[in-house]
Amino acid sequence: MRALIVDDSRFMRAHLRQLLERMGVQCSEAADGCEALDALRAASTGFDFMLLDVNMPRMTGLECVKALRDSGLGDEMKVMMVTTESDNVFIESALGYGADEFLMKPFTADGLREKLAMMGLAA
Amino acid sequence: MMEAGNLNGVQTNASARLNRAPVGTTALHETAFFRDRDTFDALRETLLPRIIEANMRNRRLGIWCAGCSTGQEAYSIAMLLRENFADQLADWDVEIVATDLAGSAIEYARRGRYRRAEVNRGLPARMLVRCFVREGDEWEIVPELRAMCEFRKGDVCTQIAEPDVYDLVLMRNVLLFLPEQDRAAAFASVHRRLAAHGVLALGQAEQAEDSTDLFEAEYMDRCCFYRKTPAR
Repeated sequence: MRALIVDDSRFMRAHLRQLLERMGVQCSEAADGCEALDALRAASTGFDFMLLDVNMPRMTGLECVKALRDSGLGDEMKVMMVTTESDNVFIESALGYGADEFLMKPFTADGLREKLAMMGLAA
Repeated sequence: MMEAGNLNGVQTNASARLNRAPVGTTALHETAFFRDRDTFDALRETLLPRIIEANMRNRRLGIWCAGCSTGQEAYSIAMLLRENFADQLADWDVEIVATDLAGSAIEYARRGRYRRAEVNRGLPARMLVRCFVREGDEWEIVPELRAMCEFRKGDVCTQIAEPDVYDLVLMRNVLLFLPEQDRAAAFASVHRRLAAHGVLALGQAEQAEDSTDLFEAEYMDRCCFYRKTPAR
């Protein structure tokens, strides 16, 4: 299974990578939405899922998921927002733009694993 | 789950007290919304449709969460019913009774307010926004779902009043905390209250066979439920 981790915090990317690699997931990283779209275009084989922060420079997570779904890029890929945002209206917006799930920071390894399972990803 | 202890009403020796000592601690409040997803999938896809079909005449559905801890399991059942069976159950008498030995857990469950770490566990985002209202740093279950659940203090053998006959009993991760001699009593209590066509759900690491012959297993995809053993 392959994942793209998108977060402007190097620490958070490393944390997510560590958790996912323990579950046997291969990880790539991007520091914002623009980098994420570039990585998706350049990838020779698709990603199974993307963990996407919201508040990032250049292109936010919401802009990224909208661009992704509008373009059809990575149509089969599941997208989970991983963010400190927690307002119900915001969560609804993210789901409306095409995100599949939403995980609030801070989170636990079990919480992450459960959310992946909800998306049909048996990591 | 927090169901354990004074099943027979008489436990005075030191070993019994030691057995029961950890039961009031927060370490045992381990629970989550939709814990063990396979169990909830089987309830939604197979078991609840079957129970609803069987109860069409009396239009009543009774569910007992024994050892409900802080309420996530009971509210998960309420959410599952509303999201999947609202039309079928529109004019039914639906009651979810949830019991726990720990008064603090029952109080917590009655409030129906959960912190970020709790709603982050097992709860799909779409369910969170439909079934909870954000209140400051917490999320509160909507009144319609809270009204479906009645939380009472008591252990598995306590008389828990009406309806007292249930179509579905969830006694998950309770046996783990019961001394061996109390497990048979717990099963007998559930057996008395379970409807003839009723279903018992245990935790994924638990089984009835070692403690009782009152129930027989029904194996589903990736999980197992129990029914009353037919009278011989």
